[in-house]
Amino acid sequence: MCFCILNGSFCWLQPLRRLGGGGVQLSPLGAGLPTLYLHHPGDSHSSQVGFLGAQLPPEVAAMAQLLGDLNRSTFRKLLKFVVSSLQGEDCREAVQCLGVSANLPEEWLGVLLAGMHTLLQQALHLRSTSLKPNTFRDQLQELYLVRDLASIVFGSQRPILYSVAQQPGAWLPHVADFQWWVDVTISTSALAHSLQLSVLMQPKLSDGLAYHRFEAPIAKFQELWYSMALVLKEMADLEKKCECGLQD
Amino acid sequence: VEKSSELPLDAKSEFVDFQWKLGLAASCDSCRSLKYPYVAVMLKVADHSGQVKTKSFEMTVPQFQNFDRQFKEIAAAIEAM
Repeated sequence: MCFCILNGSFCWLQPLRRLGGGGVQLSPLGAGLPTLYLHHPGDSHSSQVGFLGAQLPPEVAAMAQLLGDLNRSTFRKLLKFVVSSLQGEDCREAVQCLGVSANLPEEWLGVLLAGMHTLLQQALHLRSTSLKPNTFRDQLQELYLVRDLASIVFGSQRPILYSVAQQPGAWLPHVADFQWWVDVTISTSALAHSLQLSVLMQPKLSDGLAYHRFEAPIAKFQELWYSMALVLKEMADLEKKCECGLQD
Repeated sequence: VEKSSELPLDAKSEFVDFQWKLGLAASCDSCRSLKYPYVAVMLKVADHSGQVKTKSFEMTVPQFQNFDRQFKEIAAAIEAM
């Protein structure tokens, strides 16, 4: 049992472990699982925000509850199906067969698949520079999932899975390319010898849909530059706050 | 950097306005000392319903010189009539 600060109040939490012996028992907190924080008891002030976020996604927590009693080879087979489905294959029939042969009730199948899918999606969406294998393993240690998942996220299939994860799904497109020009207007039909400076920008988005070319006079460019510096500063401040542990 | 568009060859379209700009691309992300002169043109044309459409395009200096030569030829042809 461990204390955890939840929304400003103390409460008992079941640790993410199989309860009792023989057979899986879901936590008595059941479907109304409180939000679980992925850190060691008594360590709440020094924990880092894991790749799953400060709040463990409910489907991952639900999956973790069932893992204690799951046969390792069944787990591996299910994982294979999740990886195939991430690459676009239809594995529904195969999963059902596995459920029957391994004697797994359908709702457990659903919980396990949802949890694995979310976990892999979250991990694969991050660049390999921001999530290191050791950090990943440590964070998963608490979920008893280590070796198999680490070999998928950092194994030979990573490039394919990473590129699939980057595809537009629920994510907004990102800037794929950015071209710019510094332009001097020498004269126009309306004004001779204007000698105006402006910056032309052309960002290209990852969804490749439309490219926008726009012009910013120097004053507007300065404003844009200032805004970017402000955003960078906010990001740095936020990073510092996360390192010190989130206080609520 | 050139955005070219076809001018409609529809005889019912009417020329409305011609605006131009002589510019110099001083530098860009791939070339810090570009110094590329160009002429940008914004053409306004009215179609048969009277709706004004805008066409924009750019020309390099040699392209503009060719453009200019076309107009001189048109002017010469008019003179000859």
